[in-house]
Amino acid sequence: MASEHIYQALLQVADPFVLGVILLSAIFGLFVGAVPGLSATMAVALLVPITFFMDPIPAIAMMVTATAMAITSGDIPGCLLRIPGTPSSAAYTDEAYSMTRRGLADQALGASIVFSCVGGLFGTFVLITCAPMLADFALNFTSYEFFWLVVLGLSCAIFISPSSTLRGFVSLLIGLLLACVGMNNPAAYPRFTFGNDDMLNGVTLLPMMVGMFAVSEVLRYATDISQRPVDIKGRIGNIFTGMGGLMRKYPASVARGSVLGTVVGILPGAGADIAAWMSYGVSKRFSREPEKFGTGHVEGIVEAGAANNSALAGAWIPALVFGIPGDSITAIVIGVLYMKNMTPGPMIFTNSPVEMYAVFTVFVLANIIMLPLGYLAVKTAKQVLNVPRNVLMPIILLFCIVGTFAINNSVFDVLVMLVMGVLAYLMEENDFPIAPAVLGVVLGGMLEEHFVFSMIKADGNFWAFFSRPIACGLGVLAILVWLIPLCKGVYRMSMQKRSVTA
Amino acid sequence: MKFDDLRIGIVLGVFSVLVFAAARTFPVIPGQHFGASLFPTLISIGLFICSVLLVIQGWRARRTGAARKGWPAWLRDPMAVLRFLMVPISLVFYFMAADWLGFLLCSFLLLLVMQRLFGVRWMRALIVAVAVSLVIHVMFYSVLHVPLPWGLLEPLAW
Repeated sequence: MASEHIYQALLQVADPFVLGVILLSAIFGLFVGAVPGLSATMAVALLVPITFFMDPIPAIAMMVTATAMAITSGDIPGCLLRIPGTPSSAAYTDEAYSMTRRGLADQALGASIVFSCVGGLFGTFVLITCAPMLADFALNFTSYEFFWLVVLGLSCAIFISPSSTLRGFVSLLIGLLLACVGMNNPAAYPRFTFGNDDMLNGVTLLPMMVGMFAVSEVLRYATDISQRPVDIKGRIGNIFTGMGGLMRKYPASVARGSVLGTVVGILPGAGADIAAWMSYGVSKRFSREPEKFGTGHVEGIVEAGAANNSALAGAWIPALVFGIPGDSITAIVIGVLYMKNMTPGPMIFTNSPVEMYAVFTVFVLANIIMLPLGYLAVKTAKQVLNVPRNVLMPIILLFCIVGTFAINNSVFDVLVMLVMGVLAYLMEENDFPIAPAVLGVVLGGMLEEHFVFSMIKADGNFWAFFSRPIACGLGVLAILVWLIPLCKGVYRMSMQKRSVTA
Repeated sequence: MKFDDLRIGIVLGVFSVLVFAAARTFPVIPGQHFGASLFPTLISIGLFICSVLLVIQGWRARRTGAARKGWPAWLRDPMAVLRFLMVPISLVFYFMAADWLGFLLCSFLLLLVMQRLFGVRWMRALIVAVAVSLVIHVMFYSVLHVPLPWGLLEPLAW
């Protein structure tokens, strides 16, 4: 049965059109990742209008390939210019740049690409083995379990994010409020629609994502168009020399980075960037030569480079199995899955097995072609990094407008895109993280639906949420996630008081 | 555009009160405790609490003499403001003019004007505008079969 599906999936991915799509989106991803200011999330957001007009498998293949490539090539400008290409490379940009200054650019770039590939393959392996098992296990989940899962997801999004918890909260609440718009609620009452028919369906997810991740970037650029030409000194030789040696020297780092990255990826709201920061820290802590960190030492790059790519695959696990996005990229993916009538949830492996195996295949393929394409990207880095931003931004804007307009021919969608773009721009300018808001919009409907249905089932008895063993466990976990930061805060305050009175 | 927490808090506070008031008007289904108003009400209360905390934070920061954030410099540069406004203007222009002018002319004009405002030289702007319009057209119209409007160029349609 499964082998039949796998064969079908392989056949579909091996289709020349799909392979062509994979190659093109790989190049697109490498380019977007390497240009500072354009993130992997933006790469997916820009692909959304194209995926709309494609079959499910090439559509998903595009998103998988483009993001894997973008996260990897984000390391290139970080290493050569000390400007991270995507937020996921920020953790070890200083380290990589120090290596370049010591004449070790080859090794830094090679390590990022090779260990990105290793991490990505590990994450994919976990995705392939765990997602179907987890889905099987989750088949008998009821609305109680799902309610707690959503609560856990939303809580993680706030407490893991590096910015202030208060700001994360505001962002999340704004997202939840946006999810309330329309009549997609258990009572089917039109909320906040101002009598507008278009608003009945709520804030359309995909135009919103395009606005938040692409239009906001154009707006930010419009306020400051300075771009200094960059010059890369020195020649880059064979970046793959000595990688086998690194692998033998740091096997523990590679394993730790891949595992931690996958786990962080699975946690909702925390994606590749947080995975990289965390595993860079862990690497320093457990290293035998921590004093070398920051002076151009390759160990941290090996570990964090593996982590950010494995996080990418990890994030797909909750997205596919529960419909809870592991990061902003999978939040967009979920929107596309719904559009393709592949509703995420425990049933997805039963309902669309071929598509799922195709996702796995593409993940493996993307991580393998990362090696040769990454090499080419490094070779053309100088040209890519000097692409004039003032030509690129108008093209991005036009693409957003045409793409969003083409999806439904709806003026409302384009308006949603604009308003969300401005909102995301204002939020980021004032240090409010975007990810919790995105999660809030995607999960708001689910949260309310599961809560209300559970309450109706339980006849208003809140303890029913703890009546089933798994639901109870998840509920306790969710409460713990909330209590730990609170306790920490109280503890810190009491310590402060003590030091004041002493 | 950076604002200090005091102002953000006040705006959010007012907004949350409005949401709360609106949510109270939603009808309650008889015999049920959890109507359409429950979630928006809870969210508005949460937002209100957050806004109070933001106001306190902003007020403290002001008292300790943190530099007050004025209007950002780019707002005083008319060109920068124009560039910023070009984003909504292009949106409006596209959906007003696309059917009449057609996609190719529309996108050519948009790209040309935007690039000029962003400081691209005439020659390069012209070449990019023509090339990109054609590429996007081929991609959406020919490959993905999206019915982009031809408008004035209808006689040339392929």
